[in-house]
Amino acid sequence: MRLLLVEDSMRLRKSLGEGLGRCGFAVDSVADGKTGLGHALGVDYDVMVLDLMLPEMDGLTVLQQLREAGRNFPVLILSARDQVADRIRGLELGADDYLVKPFAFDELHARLQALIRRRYEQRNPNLQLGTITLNTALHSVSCAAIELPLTPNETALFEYLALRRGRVVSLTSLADHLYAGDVAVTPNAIEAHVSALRRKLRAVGEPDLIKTRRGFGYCIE
Amino acid sequence: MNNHARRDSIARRLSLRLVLAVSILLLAFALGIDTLFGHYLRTEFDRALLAKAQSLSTLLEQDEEGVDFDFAPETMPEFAAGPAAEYFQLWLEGWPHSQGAPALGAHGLPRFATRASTPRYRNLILPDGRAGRAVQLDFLARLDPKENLDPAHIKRPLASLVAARDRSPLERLVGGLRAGLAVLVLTGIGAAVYLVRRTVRHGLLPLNVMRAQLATLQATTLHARLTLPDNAAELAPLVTQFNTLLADLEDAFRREQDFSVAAAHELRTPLAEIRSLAEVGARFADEGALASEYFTDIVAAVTQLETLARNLLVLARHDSGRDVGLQLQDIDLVAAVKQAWRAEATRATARKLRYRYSGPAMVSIRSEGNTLELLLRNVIGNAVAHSPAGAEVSVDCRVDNRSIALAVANPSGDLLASDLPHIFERFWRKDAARSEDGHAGLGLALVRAYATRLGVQSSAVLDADGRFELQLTGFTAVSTT
Repeated sequence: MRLLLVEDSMRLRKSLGEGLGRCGFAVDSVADGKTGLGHALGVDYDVMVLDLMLPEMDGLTVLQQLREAGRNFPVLILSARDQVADRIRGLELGADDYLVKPFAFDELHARLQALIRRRYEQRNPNLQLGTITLNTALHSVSCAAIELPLTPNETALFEYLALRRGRVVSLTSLADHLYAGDVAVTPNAIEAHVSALRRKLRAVGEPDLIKTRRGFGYCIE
Repeated sequence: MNNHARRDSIARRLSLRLVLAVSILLLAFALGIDTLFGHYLRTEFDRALLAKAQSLSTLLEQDEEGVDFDFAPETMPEFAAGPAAEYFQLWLEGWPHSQGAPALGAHGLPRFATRASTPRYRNLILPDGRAGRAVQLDFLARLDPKENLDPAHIKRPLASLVAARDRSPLERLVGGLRAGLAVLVLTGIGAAVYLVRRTVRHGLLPLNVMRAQLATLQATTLHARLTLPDNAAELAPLVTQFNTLLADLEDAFRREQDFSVAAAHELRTPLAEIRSLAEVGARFADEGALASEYFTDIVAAVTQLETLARNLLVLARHDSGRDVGLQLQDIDLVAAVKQAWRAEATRATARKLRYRYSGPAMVSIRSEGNTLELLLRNVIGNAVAHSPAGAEVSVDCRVDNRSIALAVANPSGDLLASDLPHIFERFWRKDAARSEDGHAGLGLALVRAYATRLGVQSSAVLDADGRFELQLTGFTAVSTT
């Protein structure tokens, strides 16, 4: 899942970017509001983490302009402002969640996953695909209670396709959502990940779970 | 308003006193009327009684043959027996029996044992049981004018005449008068209660309006101001003073809230950094390099927190006035400024800042070394932190007589004149975002605290070229070269 982190604290940006990246997110980190808005308008992120007191442009203005531009991906405000009025203002302007600093990393992670599930209308973190079970909270894929040895990239790819079950996902969309902006990704690299994933699924008796729609992309039916 | 408050209210006390005063006046008036008219009516009654007695006394005449009482009942029917009968009784020296009105019958009237030259009155019970009043005349029988007698050669006997009549009409009249007066007084008191209460309520309306407005005041409604429905000269200064106090209080509350929010924010951000670094580091501790890098970041965040705590402590000490006494000594101000610049040299060099000093080569002042050093480091540090790369930081030292002014100037970037009133506020920064410079917006607040401690005035101006100048005035020179 592709995540935009707009946070002016360098240390927070670094630790969150690293932590969320290792949790399977493709994280784009920016330090000011104006750059954050530029990124948010240019890419269809799965979720956005937004600080309020930002240089150049404050978080609420970023949020307002984002919603006015028709960008509807979930936004979680991460702020040191803990007044009820601040939270109300943020939620009224279109934020989907509000977390006050300091916070537990696990809570942030859980809230982000909940926002993503809500975005893809998937309330249950466990998705059953044939004999395969995908847990979006634990980022784990298992078959008959045995966990499949997927790499983070393969897990993210499977999760993204599973959340869009019944729809064809293009290579461009996969590149946009699974890789951060500073990562150069080619169609061949994505095809390689798909092949590897298919091999591991075939090994547990699910050879045809991921279909190829030639000229369009991939889908899980 | 509760019962206790109502009992102690100005309106109630004022009303009570006014009603009491009016009641006393009305009672005094009624008593005066009662006394005056009562006396008048009794006097008139007595006068009529006396006239009747005197007319009876004229019926007693002496001629050469003796004394004759020429009373004819038909000419004075009031003395005949009846429900409204009047009475008289006449005693004469030498008479074996007294003579009385026909209505008297076998009864008698009381008389004073002694004799007097003036009429004497008394209340009594008439023979028929009615309350009556009597007058007694002691006199000599008059000589018959038709016989031309010489008073010197006639011995006249002494006579006593008591005339009495029913006094109940008089008492009824006086009673009626008193009842009328009582009704008048009670009506007057009732009217006074109504009018006084109404007048007091109307008169105290501005006070009640003020009270109602004050009752709605809370910490959350300090923006409200008192207004009076009409001009009450006595209350106008109070309202003005109160509104001024409210404005000050609102400002103080706002600053307090701003300070709390800013302090919380300044604490929350490094705490969030530390927690996030620690949690992410612990969760992915498999990479030694990552953990090591995070430890370095945690130390930096803790150092930032330490600085913040230390600065807040300095300001708290300053606010509480618990600063220890100054250890004054002679200090070269110019050398102290240079020392402060050297302390910031690394940062200044990294940003290619230039330093320019103008003023005397040496200015000796009487001050305290530690506080002065902290003051100058904060002033210079502020200039270095907020100057654009490659800019000039200038320090001008001006000596006027023995008074020294120090001005530290640097390009201000996007600072506006409207920012200057906030420049010494705690946690105030031009950009509200807490950026990576490690500054919490306490630098100039500390400058003001240190300057105040040294007895120096601090102020800030923005010149026409947009250069920000921090001025410290009031250093006292010991010597200059």
